[in-house]
Amino acid sequence: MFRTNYSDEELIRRVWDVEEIKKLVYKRSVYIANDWRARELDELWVKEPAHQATASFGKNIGWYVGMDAIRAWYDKKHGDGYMAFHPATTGLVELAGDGKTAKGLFYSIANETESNGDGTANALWMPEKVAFDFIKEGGEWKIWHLVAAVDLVSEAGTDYGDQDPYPHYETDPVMVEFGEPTVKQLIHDGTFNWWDNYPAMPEPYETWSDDISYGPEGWKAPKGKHYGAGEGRNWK
Amino acid sequence: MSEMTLHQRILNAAASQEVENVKARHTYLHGRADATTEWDEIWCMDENASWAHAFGRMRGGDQVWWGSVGDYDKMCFENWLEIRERWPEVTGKDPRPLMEASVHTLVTDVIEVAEDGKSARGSFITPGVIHSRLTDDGRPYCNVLWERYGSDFVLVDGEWKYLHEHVCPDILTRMDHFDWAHGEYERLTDPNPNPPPPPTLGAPPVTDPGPLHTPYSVLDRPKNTVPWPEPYKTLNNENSYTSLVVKKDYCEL
Repeated sequence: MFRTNYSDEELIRRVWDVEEIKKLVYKRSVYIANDWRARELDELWVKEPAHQATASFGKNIGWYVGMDAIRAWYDKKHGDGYMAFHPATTGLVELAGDGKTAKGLFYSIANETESNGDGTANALWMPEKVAFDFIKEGGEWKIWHLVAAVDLVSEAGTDYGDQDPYPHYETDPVMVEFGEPTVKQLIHDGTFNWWDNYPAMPEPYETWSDDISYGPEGWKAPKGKHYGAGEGRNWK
Repeated sequence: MSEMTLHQRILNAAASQEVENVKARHTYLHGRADATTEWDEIWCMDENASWAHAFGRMRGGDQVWWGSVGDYDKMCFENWLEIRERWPEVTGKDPRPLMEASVHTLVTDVIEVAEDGKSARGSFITPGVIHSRLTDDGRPYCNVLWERYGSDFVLVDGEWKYLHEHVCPDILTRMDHFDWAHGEYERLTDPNPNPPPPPTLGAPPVTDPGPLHTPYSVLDRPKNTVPWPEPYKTLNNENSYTSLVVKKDYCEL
């Protein structure tokens, strides 16, 4: 519902908040491109202890939970020859009715290039849906939960059609780099395109509750008892 | 120079964000081929509704529903019947997202909200990826499709809804594998050229037959088929991506 029941003052504050949130996401794309991982965690993510304890960073195979765990995995500096672009597009931001939190969904036709150390380099395409929960701390919007659901990983210049249709997350370079998350669980299976609908679009909401989180506490299995198992493929 | 009050400017700023969200919802629903939800929830399906592509323009809610929901679902279900023999694990899953994830990302938004606050117009460039893994030939694919959108939106019962969409495909090729420019050159210089690849799946029945846009060609200039909207007062036939047929609260004839 288009909210016309706000006063002008309230409405322009909400408009302003949404623009601040979009800038936060777009700045993160630049932090990634500059390989500023430590700065990203220090400057864009939550600072309050209670929020740091429940912060999460997820990819297809699970989540790191808590800023300490996120930092232990994410805070690394790459060498010469590294470049990563994750431009955020297609922003869909829902600001809570109470204005204290917000949810956002973006899509990134991302790529990363990394030196092999011998003069060669690998360049990867990795289009992904990126979902965020945001929370306001001291008047500033911060990233609280993040999920990057990678749809496919394909080396530049190679024929993606030659890949096995089944993702092999144990050897997929993006998931290998993701390491051993705190909560290890298949949360987006690219085998079935977007059938599992994760992360889903944010819907308008009044106030925060954990069941709408993009962290592990808000994940819901798609319908189908065999998600992540054989799902009938072994019958034949 | 606009004479809008501060109050109206604030409302229109909020409306511009709402329209961005409607447009983004289209992208995410289409990525799951969930045409039913898209046209049921985010569209105004009255007589003025239209959906256009290179192949032509569907007009009116009934025709748009038939083509954009019915024909699209048909392709998805036919695909599911084909791939199930090879990939039995699709059993029990919604056939629609299994066809492909057609993800038309949104960048370069130029949005104008009417001074009367009852409509909005937007143009976008969309660098897209279209990918699927479980296919009938066993090979996953990822295409890239760059298009432009011209979109009109209207405020109906307090909610922003899509009214018109004009999709203009410019580049379609396969990620990492083909050169769309050289491929087109080779096609055109072949003594027995094949027709160009279709820029979209299917061609539903239309009221206004195409072509309403022509994709990139080595022999042609780019087509500014959906120019960005200029500031305007109200939705009318001078400010619309499709001519209007019925007077409504949101428009003038």
